[in-house]
Amino acid sequence: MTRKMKWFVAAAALAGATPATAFDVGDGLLSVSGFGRWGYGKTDGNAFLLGRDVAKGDNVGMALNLFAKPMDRLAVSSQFFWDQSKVNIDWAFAEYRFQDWLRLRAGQVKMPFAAYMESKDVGTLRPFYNLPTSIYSFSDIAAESYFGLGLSGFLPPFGGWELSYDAYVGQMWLESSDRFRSAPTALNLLQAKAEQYANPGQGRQTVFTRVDNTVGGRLTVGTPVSGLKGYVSAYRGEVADLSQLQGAEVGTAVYAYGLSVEYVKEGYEVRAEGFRKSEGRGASLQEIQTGYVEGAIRLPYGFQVAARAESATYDLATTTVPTTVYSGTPPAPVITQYTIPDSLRRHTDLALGLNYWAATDFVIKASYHWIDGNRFAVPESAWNNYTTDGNVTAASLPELGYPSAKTRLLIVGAQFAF
Amino acid sequence: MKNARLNLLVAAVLLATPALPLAAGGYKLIVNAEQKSERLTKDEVSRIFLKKVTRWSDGGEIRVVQPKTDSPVRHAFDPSVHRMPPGAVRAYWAQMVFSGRDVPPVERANDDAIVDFVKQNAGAIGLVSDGAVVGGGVKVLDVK
Repeated sequence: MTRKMKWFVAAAALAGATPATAFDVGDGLLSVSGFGRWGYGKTDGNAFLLGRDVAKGDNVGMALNLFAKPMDRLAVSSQFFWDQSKVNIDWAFAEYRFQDWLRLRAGQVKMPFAAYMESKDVGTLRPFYNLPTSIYSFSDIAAESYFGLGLSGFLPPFGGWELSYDAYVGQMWLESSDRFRSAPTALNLLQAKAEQYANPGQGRQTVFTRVDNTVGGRLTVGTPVSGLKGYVSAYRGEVADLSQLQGAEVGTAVYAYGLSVEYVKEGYEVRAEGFRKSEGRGASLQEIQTGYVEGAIRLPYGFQVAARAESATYDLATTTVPTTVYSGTPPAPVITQYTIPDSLRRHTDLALGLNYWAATDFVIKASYHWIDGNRFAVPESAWNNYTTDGNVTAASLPELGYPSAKTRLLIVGAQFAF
Repeated sequence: MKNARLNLLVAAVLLATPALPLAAGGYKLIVNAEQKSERLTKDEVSRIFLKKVTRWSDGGEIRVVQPKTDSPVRHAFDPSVHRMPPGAVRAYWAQMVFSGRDVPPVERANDDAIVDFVKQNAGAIGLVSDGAVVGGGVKVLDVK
């Protein structure tokens, strides 16, 4: 086979690879479905999302969903996700349906928050390869799931309006790539530094915070205007005492709330979301304001163009934090004051996208992003070697040299579902 | 060389371009003859087919059966009853499935299979083409 023929066959196979629909056994008693992705990312310097200055093309992931109805009113469901590094249970829960307006859920339940949190890994439900980072990716605005009990239901319609609700109590894990947690203790910094020396190059890329006594909910409002829908989401909880390094001060309150609006028609869609989150108190107080607007239009032959503008700011009670400088052999710690640079407290992302929908459940996406701020976009060396704790990273910046606040990113990828 | 590859890639993509939607046909709704319901509003039918309502008024479970997404019947039914095209209904179900909330209604390949399903399940409601022969054990609903 000639090189040209091989290219043609490979391209045709990719373009025509429409996945099968979900497996269904026993007329809905057991259903198996799933989704997956492959992505390539290239930046002009900083590391951001799947992009690196030396391009990465090995970003793959896939999930399987199981849904079963073992009894008339009982449904159980779970999702398993795996990528290059791990296999996860994203969620697993049971739902008992007393009435359509009253369904009890228990287990590790998908978090009903914002427009996308319940389906945040499913690329075929959105116009861009990645969701807005400051809400859905390592920003700890909300978790992907909660552990506990929840109620859910559809309320009777009135005058063309439809309401559905979710309410929950339990605990959750917030996941963040924070770099500037305020008021660290010398012990935390020493632990982080010791871990870094013990495992060079294996510093943690994310900080996990367990939030207990979480109470939250989401109200979904369907309007008389076809395709126009809104969501109001909120939760409140307290940072658990785990006797280990966490992203926020133990015992302090964490709460977030926001509004989402979307207008989705066959040929186009417009969506906007805005959230505010607060955590900590006094010198550890941190507040996040974030939001975005996106739109997409379908073109002939399966093509789609999309645009998105995202902005987030991170307000700290104090931008001067105690931190540690190491010198000598072996390194000796000295606590000093460090001022967190402005660029670490902001993130804006302007993006344009071009998609080709080979089928409803198979899409090839390309997008170009102009990013300002280092909240999420930082040099890979800092990402890999210094992200053990926010302040360690902040402190390490003078050693590394300040990163450029500007990043440009190209993403090309494929996403599918079945 | 690069241009040749690009041309081949574009040609392959265009070859795989999705087909245009099928022409829409008429539809009717059928229920098992044991069902007391004689008529439903379009809003009620929509909520049933989207599984927002899963019980008949007597408490029995509703079992929905419908043709596949790309059928002419669905192209008539979805915009008329859900006020959404089939693609949007499919997206609705994808969100429901991947959030673990529910799965789409049972699908059958043709009218005969749908009629059989409705006959065999007391709580069933089915979507068939307006030319479907329903026979005994099934009745046609009046939809307003």
